[in-house]
Amino acid sequence: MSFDWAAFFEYLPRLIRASGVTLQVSVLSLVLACLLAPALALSRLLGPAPLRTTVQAFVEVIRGLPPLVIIAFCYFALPKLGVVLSGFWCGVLALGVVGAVYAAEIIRSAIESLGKGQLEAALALGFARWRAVLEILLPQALRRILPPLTNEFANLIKASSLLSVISVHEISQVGQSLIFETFVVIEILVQMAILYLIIIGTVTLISRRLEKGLSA
Amino acid sequence: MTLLTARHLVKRFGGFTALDGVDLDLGRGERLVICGPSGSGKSTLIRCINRLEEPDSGTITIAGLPSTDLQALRRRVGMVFQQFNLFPNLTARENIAIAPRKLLGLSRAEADARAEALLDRVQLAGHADKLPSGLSGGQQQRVAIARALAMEPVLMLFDEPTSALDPEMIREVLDVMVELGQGGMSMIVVTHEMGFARRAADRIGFMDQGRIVAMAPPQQFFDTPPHPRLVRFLDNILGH
Amino acid sequence: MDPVFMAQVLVRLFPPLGLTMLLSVTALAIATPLGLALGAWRAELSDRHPAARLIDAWVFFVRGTPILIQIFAFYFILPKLGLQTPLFGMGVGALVLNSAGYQIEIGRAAVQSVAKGQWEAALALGFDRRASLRQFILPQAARRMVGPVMNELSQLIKASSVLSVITLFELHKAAEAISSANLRFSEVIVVEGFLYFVFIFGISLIAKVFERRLSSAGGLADAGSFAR
Repeated sequence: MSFDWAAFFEYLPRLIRASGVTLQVSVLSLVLACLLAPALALSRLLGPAPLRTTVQAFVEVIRGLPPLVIIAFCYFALPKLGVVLSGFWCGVLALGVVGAVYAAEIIRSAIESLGKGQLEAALALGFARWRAVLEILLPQALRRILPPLTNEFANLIKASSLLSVISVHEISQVGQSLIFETFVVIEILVQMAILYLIIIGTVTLISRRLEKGLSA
Repeated sequence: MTLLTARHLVKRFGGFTALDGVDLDLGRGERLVICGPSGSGKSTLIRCINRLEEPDSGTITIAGLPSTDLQALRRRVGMVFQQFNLFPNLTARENIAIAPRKLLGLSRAEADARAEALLDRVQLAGHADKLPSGLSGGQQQRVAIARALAMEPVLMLFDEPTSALDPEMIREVLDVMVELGQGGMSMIVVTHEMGFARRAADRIGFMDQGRIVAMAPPQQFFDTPPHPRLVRFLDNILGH
Repeated sequence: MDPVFMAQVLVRLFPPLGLTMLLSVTALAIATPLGLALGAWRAELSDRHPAARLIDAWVFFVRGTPILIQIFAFYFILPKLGLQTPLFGMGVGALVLNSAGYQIEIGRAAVQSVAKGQWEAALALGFDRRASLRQFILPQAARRMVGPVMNELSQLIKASSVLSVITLFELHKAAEAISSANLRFSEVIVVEGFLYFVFIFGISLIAKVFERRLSSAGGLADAGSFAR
């Protein structure tokens, strides 16, 4: 069983184009997650009790479901509620919401990891609770948030592979189609693996650099 | 003239009663030291004064200060913590300047000037640009005192300010506190440092199981302790 | 939303739910000892040892690619190698490959988190390195792994849903089949989601209880995330 290099290079361009889609979906869902996460985290830290409970319930539900179910919900169930999105945008929405929930947990635990003393020092000086969190605690927490957040970005990229089930032409979908069309297996699988490894490896590298840079 | 009046303070944590009906008066410019065994309620008492703990019942009145606007109250009452609690990402100067700037509306220049004057006062003139990680424990605690003073409080609360310090750094912090008291600041200090109490306190209170069981000026407190539990406490603490 | 219909769907989904749990628990039962043993071993190896390199390569591959790719590897490559494996076996195989890869890190972190003083005490008494590990370090490390391992079970249940792509009739595939047959997507998804949630959330609650009980020995931070 030898490696078919000709096949390898014939299908590479299509997979590279698919990587573009993978990256687009991942970046867009990261943006959505970053917009949504602070709102979720801060409502849990500062909000009135009913808001806190609602947000917590929402977070627990999202965390308690496989991403495929959430993707399926966006693609199949939302249209029944009147929201019709293309596969790509369903993907962005689903991954964005999931990413937001995990990012919010990262933010919240980073702030809580600062310890009671910091909050008390700020309160004792006369800061209102919300100002203490925003102006004293959050800047400190940022350096604890960035590394795990870039790790979540890597997770978003891996989760984008699930969008193959709703026909988004990212790496896994294109690769899978190619395998079924051409019966070329190893070469295409290897390409898919390498592409993901490169993309995720780069993100992980950036994450480690950030970790080093911020802990200085 | 009375600055602070506390009556019938009760605070429970679950099944444990930390404050069991405490009454307290503090005069303007008075320096009060509170001591007692662990769990006697000393920390809880002063944390109730600036409402970091909310008493279950009882009243606390500080002359001239609102009792419902928590932020306004806390701006006029300074607190120094056992663990210093400096903001680790800010320099000494920034730690001191941040509250005056953000809460009192001082400009950056005014706040920095105030910070530097205070650093001078606590003998840390050259250290303005250092982060807490670059300061010794004693230096950090002095910065913490300066940070509290920057808000120009009418009352200063100290919660075991030297308990987390290496022995050789205790003196530098106590000296600052003595000087502060001599300058007329009203203070309540929870501490085990009996030497400081003897030197600098106008009155010393002894707490046991959530109540103040003895209160007297230093000479009487040490020479003729008015309560048996206090006798035992002093024996233990001064004996070794 | 028709509750009668949803109740019927619920009952129809019980067998596939059973398959999901069987897949997850079987994979956990194999991957956990495998991953932890390798992780504990890896903690002891120098970075340049060939076995260390192999283990690191495995972890790198498993963490750097989506689990879908790992499933495809089993699904497409095994037949090519002439191995006619049933779907269940492929599913468990992929889950084990993935889970063990993550648990190597858990095992390694747990062993390394046991204080150095414990090692020194054991060695000073005269135990050699291997015996010290077995007698003193591993039991302490094991206590710290309970929480993360329970969390890993949650992760496996979520990951098992991806096996729907290779037509393994676990919970997600079965739900998908039911809803494409009668087009009542919302109701089926709610029932499916409910089933997943009860188990995944339930396990994470139990994990938290365990971690709190054992936290006197020190616990490891929750490594839970959504993507494998």
